[in-house]
This record gives sequence, C-alpha cells and structure tokens, in this order.
Amino acid sequence: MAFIQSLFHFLFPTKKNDHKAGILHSQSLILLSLFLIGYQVLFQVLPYTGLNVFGFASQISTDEVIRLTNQKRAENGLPALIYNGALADAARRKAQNMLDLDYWAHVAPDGTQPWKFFTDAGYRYKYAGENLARDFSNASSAVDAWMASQSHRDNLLSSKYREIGIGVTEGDLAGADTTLIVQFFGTGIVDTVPSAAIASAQVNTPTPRPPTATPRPTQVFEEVVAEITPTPEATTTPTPTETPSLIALVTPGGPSQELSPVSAQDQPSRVGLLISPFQTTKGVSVVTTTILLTVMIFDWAIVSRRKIPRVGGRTFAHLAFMGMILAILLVAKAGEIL
Amino acid sequence: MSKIIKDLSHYLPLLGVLGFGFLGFFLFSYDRGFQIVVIIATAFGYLTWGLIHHSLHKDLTAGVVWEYLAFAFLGLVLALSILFNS
Repeated sequence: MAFIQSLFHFLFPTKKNDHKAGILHSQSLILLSLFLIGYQVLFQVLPYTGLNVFGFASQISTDEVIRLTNQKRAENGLPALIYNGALADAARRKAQNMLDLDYWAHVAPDGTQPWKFFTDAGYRYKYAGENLARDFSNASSAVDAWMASQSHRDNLLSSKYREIGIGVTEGDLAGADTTLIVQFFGTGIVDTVPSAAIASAQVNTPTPRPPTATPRPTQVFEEVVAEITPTPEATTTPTPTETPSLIALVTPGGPSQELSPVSAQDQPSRVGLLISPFQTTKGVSVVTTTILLTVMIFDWAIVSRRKIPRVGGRTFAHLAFMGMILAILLVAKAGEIL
Repeated sequence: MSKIIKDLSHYLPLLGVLGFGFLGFFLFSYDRGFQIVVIIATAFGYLTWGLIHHSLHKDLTAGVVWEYLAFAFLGLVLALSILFNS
C-alpha cells in the first residue's frame, strides 16, 4: 500500500508533491542524471575487474565490404576495384596493430603511418588511401556510414584507385570487444590492371628514374581522414606533407588478383553472449525518456483539467526538449568511422 | 493549448532550435565531435530560451531556473551517454 502511494506520489500531481509529479521535480531529475552517469561509469570500470562481458557482436565479411564498395562505385559510373591480396594482408595487419597497441586512429601512437603497412606487405603504391570503421554490426551499415561522410566517400569513389584490400578483425579495444574494419585502397606503381585511361592531366608524372639498388618506398599518395577535405588534385598529402616523388619500381609479386569469391579471412560470427554497452545504454535511455514524457503528459493534462495554478517551467517546452532527446536516442546508431 | 497559441511567437524559436539540433545530429552522424557540439549547443539554447521566456513573462524564479537546468542536464546525459557508447 505504501509502495503504491509512493508510486502515485512520483507519477501524478497531488497536494503532497505541490501538484507536480515527484519525478518531475528538479531534485529527482538531477538524481536520475547522476544515476545514469553512475551507470556509465560502471561500464567503464567493469572490464578492469576482469569481467569481460561487454562487446559488440557482429558478422562482417570482407567480400561483402568489397561487393558493396564496388556497388557504390558502379552507381557512380566508376570501375570496380580489384581485390589485391597484398592490400588485404596490409589491412589485416593494420587492424591487428590497432588492437595490439590499443588505438583508434590512422597513425599509430608510435608514429607508424598507415602507408607503412602497404610497403611492409610488399605493395608499391602510386596512390593509397585508408578508411576505418568500428562497431558496425554488418558491412552494409559501415559502407553507408562511409558514403555519408564526404571525405570517406571521396576515398571510396576515387577514380585514382584500382585495387582494394579489406581487413576485418575482432578483439578488445579500450576494454570492450569490437570489430574493426580497415579498408585500404591503392594503385600500384606498375599498374597491371587494365582500366580506362587515367586522366593524366590530373597527375604529376615526372620521368621515372631507373630502379635503384635500395628503392625508396615513398610515392605520391593520398591520406584522407575524416576531418580533411576531399583529395586535392595535386599529389601531395594534406597531413602530413611529404615531398612527392615518382620512382619506377617493379611491383613485387604477380599481377593483382581478381576478386576472390571466398575471402581467406572471413570472421566467424559472434554469438550474442556479449552485452553491448550501446544497446544497453540505448534501451535504458529510451525507457527513461519515454516514462518521463508519459508522466509529463499526464501531469500537464491533470493540472490543466483541475485548473491548478502552478509556478514553474513550461511543460510544452520540456516536452519538446525531451521529445527531441527521444528522437536522437532512436536514430542513434552504433559504429564509428575514421 | 490556448496558452501555447497565445505564446506561439515564443515557442516557434524554441521548436526551431530543437529541430535544427536534431537535424544536425542526424545529418552529421559520421562526425562524433560535431554531434557532441550540436547536443550541447541545443541544450544551451533550450536553457537560454527558458530564461528569456520566463524573464519576459516576469515569472523567472530560482525554482524555474533549476527546473530548466535539471532538464537540460538530464537531456545532455541521455544523449551524450549514447554517443560515448556508439
């Protein structure tokens, strides 16, 4: 009985709560906020206790990423990118490096540039590009996210690239299980892939020097990150800037491989034994906001009906604001690109 | 309802701020930093609206200020917690 009375006091305007539902009082709202903050702190602290239940289960196929990428290119009148094993190997190594060194960035904490993975895998590039994604549940949402970002879209739809390699790796990043997608684009120095003529007017092509005993790996390349505007015509990188030089080198290995029907590194699906911090937070937040909105509506209706004068904020304004928050919570999606 | 219609010229800017806030969050879904800024700016806009509106109506009290602050803070916590977990 006491419990029901308390619940009534919390959810409906009565004399005892100054004709305003208890949950709508400023103190209750602040307490609720602190509870939600504490809930988030728990997510951060729990992995350090050894309780490794947080993560993001997903199934992402490298072939599907390539297929969707080429689909977007076809829709924009561009030729398909050819799967390259060396690029794929480089992308896998980059993804693993991010997990090993626990970072989420184009450049590693030790200063390793993404292009080093290209050269380490034996890919001599004329053009190179990288897109990153994490915590997406499927390939389609990752590709859509890249397409929604101008700089990532420019990478995906660049006519300068001929080949592609995808690395998908699952592991622990900053205390939570995650799935990383590394998308490497490239055009080899010796472009053996038959394609439409490259617009040479857009490219600096100085006379190549004869091969040297110790070839310099640095070529003209592009680095596109989320914050940088689309690749300029000049063949210099936005950051960091490096003096471009074209050197004729024999591309090691054979010609680029055709798109493999089965990827050698398809990740097995993760059964949903993991608690997704995103889904849990979203669930709790949506329920909290919905309850608040419902209580506000009833509170407003009752006070209006009883014509109770009340000094306080405008319920309509609070409803509009919380309604916007609910809309944000509902459209929020997991996954981050870089 | 009649109060809302009477103060429509006050509520329309608020709806504009909230509408653009949501639109900004949705359109820049790939840019986490920008989304955070949009949410904070929208919450601040809502709070400012409340202060100005009640000041014009001459019923701005400490309780009213705390009420808008509490709602703005709660909204920020809800929205930012989802961003930091995505």
